[in-house]
Amino acid sequence: MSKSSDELGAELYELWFAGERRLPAIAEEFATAASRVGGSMNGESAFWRPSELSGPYGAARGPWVSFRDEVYDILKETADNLDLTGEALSLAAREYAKTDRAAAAKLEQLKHQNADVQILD
Amino acid sequence: MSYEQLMQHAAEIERLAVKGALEQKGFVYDPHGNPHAPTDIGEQGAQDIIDMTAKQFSDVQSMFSPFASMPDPNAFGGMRDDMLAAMRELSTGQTPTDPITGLGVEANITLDAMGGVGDALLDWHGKAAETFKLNFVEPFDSFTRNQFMLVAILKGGIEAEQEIWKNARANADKIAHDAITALEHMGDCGKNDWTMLFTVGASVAAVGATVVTGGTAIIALTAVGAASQVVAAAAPDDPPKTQFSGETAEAVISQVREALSTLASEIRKQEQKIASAMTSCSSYVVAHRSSFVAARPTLAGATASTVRDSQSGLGEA
Amino acid sequence: MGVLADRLDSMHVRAATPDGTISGRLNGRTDVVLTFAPGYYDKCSERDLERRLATLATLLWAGRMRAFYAALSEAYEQTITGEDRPISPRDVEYAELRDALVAQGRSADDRITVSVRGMREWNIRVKDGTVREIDEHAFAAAVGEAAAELIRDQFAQIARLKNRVYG
Repeated sequence: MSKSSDELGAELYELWFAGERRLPAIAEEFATAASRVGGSMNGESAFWRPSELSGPYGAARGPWVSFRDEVYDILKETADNLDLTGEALSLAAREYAKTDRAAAAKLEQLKHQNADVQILD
Repeated sequence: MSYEQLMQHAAEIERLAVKGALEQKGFVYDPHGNPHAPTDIGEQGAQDIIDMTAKQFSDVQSMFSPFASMPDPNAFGGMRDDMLAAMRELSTGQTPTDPITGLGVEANITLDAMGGVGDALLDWHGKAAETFKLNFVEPFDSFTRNQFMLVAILKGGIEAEQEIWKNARANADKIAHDAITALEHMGDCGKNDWTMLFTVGASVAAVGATVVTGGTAIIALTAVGAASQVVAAAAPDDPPKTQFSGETAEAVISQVREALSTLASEIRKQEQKIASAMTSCSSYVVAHRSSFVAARPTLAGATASTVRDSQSGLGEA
Repeated sequence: MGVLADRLDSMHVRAATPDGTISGRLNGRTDVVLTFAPGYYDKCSERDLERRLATLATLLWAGRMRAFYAALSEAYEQTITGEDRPISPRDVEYAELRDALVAQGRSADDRITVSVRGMREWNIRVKDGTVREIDEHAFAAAVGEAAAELIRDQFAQIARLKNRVYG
């Protein structure tokens, strides 16, 4: 092994922190963006007008809504990718820790010691 | 702005048209607003003319009624705010700017945490780790900027729609006011000419929104925005201007009918511009989806048994 | 009521003869009020009055048209200072007939007769003996009656003329 258990424990901590804290926080931003974009659905009745004015919804609403749905899908997919990748990284940290008890101890020690560290620190 | 009174104005137009038409036929209105027929036509003849004239203008209010139920520009405010809120979530880089309006959108620093994710993977060289870094972490800012752009385009479309109805309501109101003026002018000596500027015809402006594809190529999508808010737009259309004249009540009402029909057709043309922009942006995104969202990383599907694998996981510790 | 009708109803136009002996005010559409310089009425002749009233009517109506175009500009939200030269055959016909149109008004006591051709050539007749027989207030009231009748007559004829030419 080229790496000491302490070094491995520190790397696993970084993986765990990225997977458990950083990626979910980023995913949350995309999920919120997706939910605001998707939530605009509630306002669509604003397009309503009488038949004499190209009613009931006019030419713009259909293309706007399908583009909006496409953008929603893209944002939602990004959020999901970020969430799943985050889960994979914390899973990885756990799985590698099973192979090295000393590294696992270091990981736990760092988690405890750095409990207040923020994602951007 | 007295758009809310459009139907009251329509009723007034009908009343003035009947009055004007009867005066043209020699009727005289007393100070109480009652018409008195010329003496030579007899009581029945007078009543027939009054009835016929009333019938002649009985569709004036229905001409206006569709325009009294036009969409409320403010009702689109919630959708617009949704888009702006999403843009704030997706805002990255130095002084991010709404490409349509040129207004700054405060950066969301939470997204900077992706740098730390990249750092955490520096020493992991399994294939899934490498491709995640290469295809997801490194282009993360480009994807996010492109997504920000798409939401900005959606917001521009809504703002353009708001602008259409803001102008259309003002134009409908002006048509009604001009009709009242023309009818009130009727009995006066001068010729009756007026000009209508259909500002609705210059509501929607085209503007380029750039996205990055394939890592470096910059493509400008054609977006739209409210003409009063866009930056660097192509020269906006001149609003159509129509000269009207009408020396009789019938002529004024027929000019009003024409003005309302022009208004409806200008609204249609402007909405078509939004529709075309949204359709072309949408087609572009569908055809180039990989520029807007990263393919799902292999790592995202890792399980306890694969996550340490050198192909589908992070590889050797 | 629209902006134009409101402005025409509340219009105030003032004018005075160049020598300052008679002033007039047009309030609203048809209400004409005369005032005389102190002492003038009692020593003038009916012919003096006729000449000066014709001048005053010309000035007052010119002022009325300026105020009218200002009101029209406000109502249409665009500057209008007059009308275009007539070009179409119907416009030419209308302009000619309008210039030839004669409107008239008469006071209830028949002392005063006012007529005008094309709202430009004014002709005022004051019955002989009027200055001696009625005071300036009664005279001014009589002129007001005749003027109001003339203005109503003008507009009624214009409505029928427009119907004839454009209807």
